[in-house]
Amino acid sequence: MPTPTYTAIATITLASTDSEIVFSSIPATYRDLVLVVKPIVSTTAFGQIRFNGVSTSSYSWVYAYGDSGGAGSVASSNTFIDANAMNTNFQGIYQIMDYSATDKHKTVLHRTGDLTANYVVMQASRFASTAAITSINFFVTSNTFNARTTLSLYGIEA
Amino acid sequence: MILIEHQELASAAASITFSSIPQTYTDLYLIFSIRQSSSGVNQALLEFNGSSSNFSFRFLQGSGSAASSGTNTLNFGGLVQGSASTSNTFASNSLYIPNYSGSTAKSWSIDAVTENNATEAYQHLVAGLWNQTAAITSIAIKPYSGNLVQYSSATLYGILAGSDGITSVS
Repeated sequence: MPTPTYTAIATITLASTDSEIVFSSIPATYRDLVLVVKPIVSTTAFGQIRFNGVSTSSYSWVYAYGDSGGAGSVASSNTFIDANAMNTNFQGIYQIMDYSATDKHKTVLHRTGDLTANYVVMQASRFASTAAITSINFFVTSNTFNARTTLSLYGIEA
Repeated sequence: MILIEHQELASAAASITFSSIPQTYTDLYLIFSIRQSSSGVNQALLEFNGSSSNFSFRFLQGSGSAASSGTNTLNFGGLVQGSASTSNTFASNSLYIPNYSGSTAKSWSIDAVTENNATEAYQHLVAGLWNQTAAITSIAIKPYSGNLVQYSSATLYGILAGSDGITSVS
């Protein structure tokens, strides 16, 4: 029997504007999670991710990017994961590895890009917690997601 | 992730094309392994609904010796192994198209690598846009020049969003 992949967990398409989308009560059934984000925004918005509502300095990341200035790499940390800038044509895929494990910090692999903002990014992020991830907050600051913004969460079984 | 169709070329051909793509999924995921009969440029070409127009993309590239980034408005989509590279090697690509059946412009992303028993090989991360609101009903993969060689292959999957009845989202 093939191992199921991309099993649908939850999805939302906004009917009106909102600045934060929360996935709660994520079961520990799977090995990895995949979050696909297709936002609708009016102006550039900076996406951010938190797990389990943790807002302390528990997040760090490194990314390689390509934009109009060329290619480069950045490492940083904060009280959230930088989910990258979003404009009209953003697409983001976030793979959350071993999300339900209780013996390791959590790794997120990002593939994001936006032709309006004219960049592409590959990123690895870390949530410095051994707690299983049971909720995901995806939000923007100083901006909102417009109606028809879609976020879909999938599980991948081992 | 549900298999829609797999194709492998029994002989050289101008393209690998998926037609009449069902509109019942949320996203599409296409994995392709391709080599072309001519040498030179390693860019593969994409067509949606038979069209090579209204494409644009930005890529991040590693070449084995340098990292760079660029943008273009041609229908480049991933990498194809050229005939001058190591025998029996094929470029590997994965293309993700969210909301392919929706009524907005279609963004897409590609991870791609070539293989070569030499210091020059390419890795691309691409953010692309097909600036059309029509649902995608066909996808064609083409070489930059020449034909796709025998054993080039592609597999199309559909990904369906939904609810597990346990997780809440708001």
